[in-house]
Amino acid sequence: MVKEPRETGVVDQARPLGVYVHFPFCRSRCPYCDFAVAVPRDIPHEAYADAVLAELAARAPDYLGKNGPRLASVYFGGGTPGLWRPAALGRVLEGVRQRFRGGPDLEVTVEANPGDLPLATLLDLRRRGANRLSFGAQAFQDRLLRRLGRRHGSAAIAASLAAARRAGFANLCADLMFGLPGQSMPDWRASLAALSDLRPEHITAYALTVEAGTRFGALERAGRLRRPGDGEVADMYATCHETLIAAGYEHYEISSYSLPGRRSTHNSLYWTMGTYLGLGVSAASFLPLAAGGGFRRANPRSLATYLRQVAVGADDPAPELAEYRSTTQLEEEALWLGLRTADGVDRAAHAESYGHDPLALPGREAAARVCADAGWLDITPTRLRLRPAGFLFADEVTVRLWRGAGTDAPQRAQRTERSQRTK
Amino acid sequence: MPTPTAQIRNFSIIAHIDHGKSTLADRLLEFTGALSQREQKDQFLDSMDLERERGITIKAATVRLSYQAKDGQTYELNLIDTPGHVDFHYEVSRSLAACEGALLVVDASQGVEAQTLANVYMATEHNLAIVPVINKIDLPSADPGNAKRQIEDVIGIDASGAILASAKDGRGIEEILDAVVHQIPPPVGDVGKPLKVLLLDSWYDSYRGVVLLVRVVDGTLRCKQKIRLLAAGRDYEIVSLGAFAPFPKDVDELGPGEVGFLTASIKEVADARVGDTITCASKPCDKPLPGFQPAKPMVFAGIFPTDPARYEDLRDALDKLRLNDGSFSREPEVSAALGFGFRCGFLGLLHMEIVQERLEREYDLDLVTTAPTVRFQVVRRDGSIVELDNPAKFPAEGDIDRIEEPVIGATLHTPPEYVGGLIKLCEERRGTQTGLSYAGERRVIIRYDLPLSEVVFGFYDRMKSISRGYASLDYEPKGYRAADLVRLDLLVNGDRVDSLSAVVHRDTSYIKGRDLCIKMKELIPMQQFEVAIQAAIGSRVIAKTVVKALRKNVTAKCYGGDITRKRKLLEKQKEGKKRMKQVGNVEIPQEAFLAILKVD
Repeated sequence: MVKEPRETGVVDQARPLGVYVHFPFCRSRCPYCDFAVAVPRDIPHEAYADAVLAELAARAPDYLGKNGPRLASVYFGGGTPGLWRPAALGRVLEGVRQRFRGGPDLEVTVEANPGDLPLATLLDLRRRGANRLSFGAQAFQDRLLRRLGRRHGSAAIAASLAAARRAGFANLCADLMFGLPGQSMPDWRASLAALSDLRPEHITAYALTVEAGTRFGALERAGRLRRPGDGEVADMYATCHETLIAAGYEHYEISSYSLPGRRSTHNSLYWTMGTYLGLGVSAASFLPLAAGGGFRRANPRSLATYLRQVAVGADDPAPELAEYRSTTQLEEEALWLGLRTADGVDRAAHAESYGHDPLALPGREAAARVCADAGWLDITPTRLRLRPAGFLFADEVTVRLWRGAGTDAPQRAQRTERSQRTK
Repeated sequence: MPTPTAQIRNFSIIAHIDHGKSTLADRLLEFTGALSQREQKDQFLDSMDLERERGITIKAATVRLSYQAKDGQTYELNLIDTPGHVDFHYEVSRSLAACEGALLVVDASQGVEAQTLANVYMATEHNLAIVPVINKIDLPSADPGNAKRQIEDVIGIDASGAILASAKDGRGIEEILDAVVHQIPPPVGDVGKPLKVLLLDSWYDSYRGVVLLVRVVDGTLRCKQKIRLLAAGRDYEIVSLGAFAPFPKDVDELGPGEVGFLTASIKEVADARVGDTITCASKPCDKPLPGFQPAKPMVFAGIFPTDPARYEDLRDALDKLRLNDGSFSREPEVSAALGFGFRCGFLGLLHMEIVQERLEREYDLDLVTTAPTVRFQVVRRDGSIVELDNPAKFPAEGDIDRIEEPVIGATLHTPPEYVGGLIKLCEERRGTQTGLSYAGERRVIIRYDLPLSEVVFGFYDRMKSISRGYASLDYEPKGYRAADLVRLDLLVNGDRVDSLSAVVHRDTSYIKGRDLCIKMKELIPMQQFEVAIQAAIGSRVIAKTVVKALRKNVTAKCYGGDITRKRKLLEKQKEGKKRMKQVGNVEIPQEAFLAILKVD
């Protein structure tokens, strides 16, 4: 097992830090969700906060380094962290802020379901330091929301956004899903129009992924989940792009749109190889080292295992996954994640971090050329960047670049043959 | 001093795949003290990893046992293992030619199985003495009486004296060794005659170089002796001489009837062809041993690296492999679609698969193998004849007067109940019957002239399934015969892909073209554009299909927690891509180049 590097290295302090806190409790389980979630009768608000704080105390030193990196974001995700008593959530937030140095622009996000939070709770969260809310709106058709197992109706979305504004939240996000069972293109257009009219600062619009271990997964295996095919989903994606661009949103990542200047600081850390410390059940962390290379790990997915290990208190919970990634491996990840964003990969910065231009590896240039010819990728002297149409092929492009080599096959073989003959 | 022939016995073991041949061999080794229990690993004789995995013997192996019989004499028993697949039938026949007898091992609860019967047919063709052994009598379900009856009814030999044994608990092992001594005749050989030695097998050993496994017929082999390989026509000096007991052990001499190995600074296995006769360079024997056949590849296929940059690695790997396998050939090939590679010749399809697997496994190469084909003779309108083993190189249809294909004379041995099915198979495969006769009540010999191409692709498997495994096949080349053959081309987005062409009979060309298109549609993944697949003969398109364009390939959500898991999914995609070959701008998976084999 790979341990985090108390001796092997120190955190790269030049990168901003995000802290993710996973709250693994929900009132009910949605049939498409494969996150680590429990549905208990009584949520252990304080006990869970204590566990997270204990983990924080054990693991923060690795992320502090000498001076401590700049804390850019704290994100409460889940599960349904909106269900956490604000006092308990506030204790955890306070603990994080005491250990890490945050600036005035610190982003503190809490995920919530529409209709869950009365104004008093919203005010309480705001007072304790939360400044961004992310609502799982998903759709504006009640029949689709029921199909998704959501507890809210479409009317609750506008009401929740309005209440959040009244409570003083100036930065709001809402999620939408497409490619849903029973969803038509008119449904999708209606949802996009309704949400963009509400002007949340951020919209996350993502296609349904049917995961094997979910109820939807079981239905699909049984051939009983009728949903839009790849072609239709691709059309919905294009519609989303056009609609939200027209409404003044910027499409800055495959599934992410924002009003100017309102990108998600936290999620951006994931795509730009920023540092993040994940606390709580199943939370993932990335610790890049000053010397290059870095550690990725994920906490146990089982609540019982997590609580038991943290309660021992002596050390961090044993990670469910822990791996060291070399500079070479991180270079591949940086390329993949960078291409997910509209900014793409900054070639000079990439060369600075990894020692070479992203196209300098064997076969990369040729593979990139194929992707450019397909209309997916822009290659400029300063950047590699997916075109909006290319976002739908982000994995395809990544895999091609990773694999390198490609179309120039016969020409290269000819060169080999010629050089051989001259030998 | 070499052992006198009267004290030598050379034998092999015939058994169905799981009737305990390997365990029995291990037990014989153990009983005679050749192998301590500590040294035993399962299936000592199958040494290559691939052999263990596939459960087949590719190379012959041999082991010398020293056994003191009840008569007080010490005997030298040579157990000669034989390859077990039709691709290697020539090697099998040479191994059997080195034996005077065989143990027929039958499972006491399962009775005579098909594979056993086919091998017994071969052994009796070589006039070997057969010693029946009923194995696994320790099993509760053992029914030795029934097994004996089956041996008598199905095989037609007397089983009253069959030995009851259990290789598992060691029962009957001594009786088996005694029977080898008393029921199998000693080899006939004359120490005074000029040296005559049968070359059984050869392989490359990284320490010793090329090693020859030999059986002395007449005369004596000695260290430092100057020898001549008659068919190869080359002389060498023996560097070392030895026997496997079972680990190699040097000896000074090998006399008549003895089995052992020699090394003689031979560079390539191809220089030492199985079946060749070795004699003394200064005083050669007057004529070689019968039955030698030069190595002759029967099927040909292109082998290309998926990554063209690895062409030279492939060349080196093929050279190394050839040190060890003299029966495949290779010459450079250039394909418009696949770039640079090699046209290789093989003994058969299994041999081809084994070579490809060894290249990929032992040399870490990703390869594309094109559909195998036989070597045709194309007679042009101007009367000139070209030999072609590559459909891509066929002249234009208008220039061809006729195409001739290689024909073989096939001999099938089968129990009578499968005769009907086998004849139907041969007729479907464009065969011409040349004989049908009974050899005893339980055995029919069917002879057919068949196009080689109909035999090498799937015939053996069909024959086995029709006869439930009982039939055996042997064949020999019989020249060329004109046939109504056409080249079936495959067009991808309008361009002919040379390495996807195949030569097929005109009568089945439409069906094959249609099935091939359907198969290709299954195999070629969606690309960024629509891919049209057409089958054509000359300029006529006879079938078409379309692979729709890829509409999306993207991970919808990619946040922190999922990075590692999502990355692993992408890495899986990347591995899949590695097994694709870029042809023009279309990516074609390796399996697609062999799709023609899957339509039948």
